[in-house]
Amino acid sequence: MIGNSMTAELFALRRRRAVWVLVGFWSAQILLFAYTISYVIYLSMGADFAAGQAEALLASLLPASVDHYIVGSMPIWGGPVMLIIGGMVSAGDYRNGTLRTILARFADRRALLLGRYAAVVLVMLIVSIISLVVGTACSTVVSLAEARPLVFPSFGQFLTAAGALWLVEIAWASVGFALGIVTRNVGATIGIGLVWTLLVENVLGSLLGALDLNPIRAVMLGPASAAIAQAQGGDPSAGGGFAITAATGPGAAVAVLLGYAVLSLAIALFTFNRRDVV
Amino acid sequence: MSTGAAIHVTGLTKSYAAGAVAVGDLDLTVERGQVYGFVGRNGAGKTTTMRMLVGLIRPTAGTGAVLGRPLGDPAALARVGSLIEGPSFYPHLSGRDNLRLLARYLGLPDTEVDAALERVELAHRAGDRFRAYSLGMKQRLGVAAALLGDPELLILDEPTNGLDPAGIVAMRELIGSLAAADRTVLLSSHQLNEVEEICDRIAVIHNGRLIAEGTVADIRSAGGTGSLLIRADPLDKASAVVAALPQVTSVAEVGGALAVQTDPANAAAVNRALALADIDVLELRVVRQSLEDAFLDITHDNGPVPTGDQLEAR
Repeated sequence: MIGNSMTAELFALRRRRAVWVLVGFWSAQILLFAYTISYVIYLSMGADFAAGQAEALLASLLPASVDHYIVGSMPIWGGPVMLIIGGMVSAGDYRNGTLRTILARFADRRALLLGRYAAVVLVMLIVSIISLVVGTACSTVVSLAEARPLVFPSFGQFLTAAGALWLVEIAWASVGFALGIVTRNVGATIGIGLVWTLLVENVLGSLLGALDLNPIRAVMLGPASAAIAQAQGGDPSAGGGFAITAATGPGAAVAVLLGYAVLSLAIALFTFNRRDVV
Repeated sequence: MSTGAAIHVTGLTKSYAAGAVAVGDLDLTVERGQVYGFVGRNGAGKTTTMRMLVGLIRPTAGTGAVLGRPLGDPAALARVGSLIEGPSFYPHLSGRDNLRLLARYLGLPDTEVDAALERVELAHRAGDRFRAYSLGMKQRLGVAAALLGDPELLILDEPTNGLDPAGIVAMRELIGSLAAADRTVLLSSHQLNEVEEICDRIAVIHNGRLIAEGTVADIRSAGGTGSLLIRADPLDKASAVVAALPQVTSVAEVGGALAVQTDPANAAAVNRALALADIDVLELRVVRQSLEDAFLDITHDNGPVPTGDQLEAR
């Protein structure tokens, strides 16, 4: 039953343009913020900068750094996009009334939701791979433009980076998935998700950091994602003007992210099972 | 196919926090192989009942079974096709892709999709997006979705809504073919002439409560016994003779004829009385109460709740 639901949801997702627009948007963010702007900054660095500073920036843009550089971009730039994708999958059917059509035939709500969640998890894996492919392509162009040797991370490093990206993406998408079920509205999910990211993860997170309240920050989604990025050797501020910084080590961060995923799924299942569908 | 009633509910109730009772204490049994009509005014509780039958909403009280399994049971509902409160599909997908999606949930091959589309005569437009469909085409796609997997029981809420006359006839034939194939159909409709024509039994629901249940003939008689139409010469004398008969409730002159309120079984006695009074009877015929008349009478009156047995005993 779960397999049928996952297969059906993947069939629907392949034809849902908005999801792939969002994946394209995330890829464009990598291209624009992580590479293009950073490279322009590197090119505009004059003699005022310490020699090591410019070289360090260029080194992060080269293929050898692509694995941890892309992971570093995820906490601030990729997370909200994944949250929206999760919300679109879970809340999209409320808008068209299609949930009624599906549930009247496929009444196992638990299997329906678990299948859809599995589809989201699979899409997140695809997004991880796409992110690394886009990053590798961008870094290759920088390398060629700078006439530097093409040195790529090992396959194992790529796999580790893909795994780290996948975990962070699943955590964010799970929150969106639960929000979609609770609000039954894609627009509300996006709104709440973005407000949460901007106000809680960024503003409140920074405030808590300034007050040295790291135990609280340690259980927040952004800092936990940042901890994973930092453990990979990435800089969570990659390509951006401000950063969500880590508040804990990678082990605790993995537990926090998995906790978000499990808790979100539990909330979604509980809510979905209890409610009438009209 | 298993035995027992296709649908059996007892005391089915759905009430809301504000105190509104959408459906109250509903008892309903639909035997296998029947085409069962479910009629009532807007807001009577038909759709709410159907939603409970397919597990979309949970009853506040009462018990029931669909195809021998408790309400909402996924295994039973996989064998139930339904169209409830209009067709709802992904607007950006084609009709065929919408059905293919549903087929994946049900674990059915795409050949079932093509067969269902052929059955509702939508195959030629199956590649068009759902949002481009007319209301009638959307409705047919909804019926095609209900037919996927050749379900044992179909629950159809206003299936002829938006269909043109040819579509209505085709729908009637489709439901007839389902009944001939020993499928059970629970059908709600405001087209009472359609219900009258294709349903074996009917339940009338009003303000969330079952107020009549039985065969079409039972329901017709529950609304009144019918009347006689008489053309006679001289008409005024005929009117006086008929009005004097104890079996007659009332006599009215309508368009050069007499509309006589009495049980149609009294037709011979009325004819005899007119002949004995030396009145020429030019025409005497029974005017049967239509289901529509009976429905309006029953729902207007909304008195005690007659069950099928009570109606048959009358």
